[in-house]
Amino acid sequence: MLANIHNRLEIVSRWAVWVGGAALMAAALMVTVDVLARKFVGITMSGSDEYSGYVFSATTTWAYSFCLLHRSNVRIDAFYSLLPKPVAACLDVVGCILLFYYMSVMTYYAGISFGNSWQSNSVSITTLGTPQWIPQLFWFAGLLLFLITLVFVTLYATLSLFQRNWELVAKLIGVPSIAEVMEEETHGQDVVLATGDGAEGTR
Amino acid sequence: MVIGIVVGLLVLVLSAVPVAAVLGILSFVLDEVAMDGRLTAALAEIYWDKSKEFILVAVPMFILLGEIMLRAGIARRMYGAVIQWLSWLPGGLMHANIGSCTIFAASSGSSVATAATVGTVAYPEIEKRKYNERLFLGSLAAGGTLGILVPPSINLIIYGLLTDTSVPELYLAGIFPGLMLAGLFMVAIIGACIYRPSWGGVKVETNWTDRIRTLPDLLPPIVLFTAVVGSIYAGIATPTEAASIGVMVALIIAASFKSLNFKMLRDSFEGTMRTTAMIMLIVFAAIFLNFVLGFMGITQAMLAFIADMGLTPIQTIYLIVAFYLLLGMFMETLSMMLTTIPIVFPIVMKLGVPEFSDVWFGILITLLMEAALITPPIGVNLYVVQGIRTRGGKFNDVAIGAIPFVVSMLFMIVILISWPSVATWLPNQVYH
Amino acid sequence: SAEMQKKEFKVVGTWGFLDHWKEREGPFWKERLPKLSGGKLTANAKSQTELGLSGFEIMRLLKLGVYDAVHGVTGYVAQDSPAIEGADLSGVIQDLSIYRKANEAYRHIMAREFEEKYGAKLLMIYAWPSQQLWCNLGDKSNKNVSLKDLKGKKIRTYSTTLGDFIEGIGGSAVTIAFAEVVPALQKGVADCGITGTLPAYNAKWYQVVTHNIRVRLGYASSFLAMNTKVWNGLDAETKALLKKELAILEEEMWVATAKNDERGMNCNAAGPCDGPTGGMVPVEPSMADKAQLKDVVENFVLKRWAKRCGTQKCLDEWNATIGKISGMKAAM
Ligand code: NA
Ligand code: NA
Repeated sequence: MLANIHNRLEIVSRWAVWVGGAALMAAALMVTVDVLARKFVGITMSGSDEYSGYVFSATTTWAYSFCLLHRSNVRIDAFYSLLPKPVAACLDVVGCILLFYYMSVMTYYAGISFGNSWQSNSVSITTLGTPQWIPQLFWFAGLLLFLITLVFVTLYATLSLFQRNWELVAKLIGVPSIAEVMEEETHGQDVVLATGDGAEGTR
Repeated sequence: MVIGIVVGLLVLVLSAVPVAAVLGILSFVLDEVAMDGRLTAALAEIYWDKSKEFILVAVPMFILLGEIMLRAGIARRMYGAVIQWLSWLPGGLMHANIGSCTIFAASSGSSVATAATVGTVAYPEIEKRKYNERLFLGSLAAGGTLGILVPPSINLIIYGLLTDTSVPELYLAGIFPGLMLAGLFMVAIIGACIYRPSWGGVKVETNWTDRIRTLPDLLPPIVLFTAVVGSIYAGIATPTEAASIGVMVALIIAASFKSLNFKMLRDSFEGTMRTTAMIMLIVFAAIFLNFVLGFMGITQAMLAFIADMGLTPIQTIYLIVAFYLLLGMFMETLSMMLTTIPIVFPIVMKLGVPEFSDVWFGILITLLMEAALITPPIGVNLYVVQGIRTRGGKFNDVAIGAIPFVVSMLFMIVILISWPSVATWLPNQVYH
Repeated sequence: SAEMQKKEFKVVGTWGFLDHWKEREGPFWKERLPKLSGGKLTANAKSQTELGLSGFEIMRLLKLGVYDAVHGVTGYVAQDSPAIEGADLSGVIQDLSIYRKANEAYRHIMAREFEEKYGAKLLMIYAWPSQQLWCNLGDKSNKNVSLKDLKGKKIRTYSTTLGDFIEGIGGSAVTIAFAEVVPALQKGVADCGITGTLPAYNAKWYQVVTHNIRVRLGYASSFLAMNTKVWNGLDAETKALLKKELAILEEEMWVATAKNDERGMNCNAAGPCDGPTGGMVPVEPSMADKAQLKDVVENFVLKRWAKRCGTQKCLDEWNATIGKISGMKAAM
């Protein structure tokens, strides 16, 4: 059952990343069109910078969950890699709990900030006057998705820890190792690490 | 207190707690101890305010640009061409690594993107041609750092933002030092391979026919460089906007190679978003830590101490260099710039040495950031290169392999301080 | 005095590299106040630059109780209240002393908004050197420039009300980060920029622009506010001391602003100046310019703002204070 939820979260976060990437590309297109229109037609549709700022803030939080599920959070593993599996598994869970603590404080205050913007009808002081709750909602939603993922992953990993299933803990939240990267590769999941692009480097 | 902070930080970092959580929780603890815990309430407001800044949009844009270049096979073709031209040197393909990184750096503003792109293409060669893995990996990590010195550059944009220095002037100033540093990297490789010829791997056969035949493969990066940097000097776009233009041009190039498709885009998005998330989670935590440290007056106290020591300008500069080399071992570059430059910059400007100008200092800082990228324990480029090792291995391999290149960087820093015009000559020709 | 309470204020000031902070805000909290209170009242005061803040978030943070008091620019915190924005609408007032009177008249409305939106007590109102237009028109020998010539020009803005003004004179608004303005002006990405007289000089805009069109687009109205809970927790003696001393500081602020404004204008033109002169062509608005200005302010700047404000009460309050003093009228 837990594995099933894990899978679903993975699918949701993957979609979030696709949408975010597409939005980023759309922002690049918008800025480019703005620049060209300004140069060659003499019109400015001011605001492409503001909109792409919002796209950036939202897409970044939307990607956190994907980053977590693919164990891409930056961790210093100089000593970690020398440790026996049970100790490493404990550190994995501790790290996860600390990250959860940090992000829950963040998300709590982000919720307050969003609530403030909603209640007092805040608008940006630029020519667009964008109501701030709209971009903040997307931003906050990404943080919530991340927090939900964190809660789930932490619980799942803690449970596995008590079951002394070190392998599973490592698979959920450990620092990726060779074998796991290979496995990811066979599932066709982890594209960056497993890219076949370099295979014929010199040809 | 400072000792407590350092020890606590080390324990957490060495126990492999995610760096973002380390920085965040350290901020909470400092706030609780020194400021009655009232600063923590500012966490999300500061995050939101910074995260919608247009200038930061350049970060994912440059990463996306790199992803498209990689997945459209543009990077691989370029690497193939550079091999033809550079691999006759002792050290073979490692020179192609540096050369490709330099060319790639001229269209990308990100060191991470540069190291990841060239690294992914080059990595399989280690086994195939029996290179010394450490040195080879080190050349990738170090070559990647050129991404922020050779224009365009995310770090120079941020430096310009923080100090009101002209970004186009900074870009011009980065060209010569960037090329010189690439040269020094190659000297380091030649030196190492003369010392131990076996490190240099199996020789690659090259010939003039292939050299000429592969020349067109160098064209896409040149087109990208022209689009990104050219649009700035032609007065079409601001340096931040140019990053977006670069993405569009990269897409057009990919389409012209018939490698633009749905799957390739999806993969690029995944790679871009994951790298962006990885970096930004740390950057925002670091910005908040900066806010807490700023209120506590720790950063200011440290630098006031330097300012009060009564040193000569040159001594002060070398002290600042030492400060950044030390800090750079532990901090991520964007957050290090954001936290220290508002304080260090005025000190340098107050030295009253005309050669030590705002543009010059921008290049010096960028060199120091490059060093930070490849010094352990926290060196983002070391992680990136570790990340592309599909056959795995110890993190230490990359860190040790990078040492000769850190030495090259130190040389370059001394050159820049002794002859500031290395950086300032070109922008002075164009602008003054 | 013996019974005065001990208190360390946590304070955030404006930009660390500008003289309001360096010469007045900072020294007041860090030196003058401790001295005047015999060491009872002290402060941990930092500029927003030192803290890495942008200025947009400062009132939200004051409300959350992150610090006790903050110096800020009114236009930056107007995101939650159009009435606050009303204190500094572009082009309304062309003279600093009148601007001060208008701000004085509007003060009680500002104070009410600060209390309602941010739970903050307004303690001081001051300003910065006037915001003017700096244009790259190519030819310095052309002295006969008017507002009409800005039609179709690309002008860098940073706020809603400036955008309204630029639309009114037929220009097109471009948003560019401050750091990117100088190269943008030089390369023609933008034709004109808007900034204060002294900042324009300090950032060496004279190297890339030719004309200084001296239409006052505002004076960057600024304030000092304290968290109301903190203020209410102070004893009567402390409150009295703060009120008295802040009034003196406020006076110093206005005097310095007038001096800086003058200096900025002179230094950008042909002098006299204590540094290198900028050699820009100064363009004082003609009668025709002034007539156009009034038209643009009333039909674009004030009309748009009235729409943002939304209520008749908001307009009435403005018309009865700033409107009366400036001779402008805001209507839907
Ligand atoms: Na670059
Ligand atoms: Na480092």
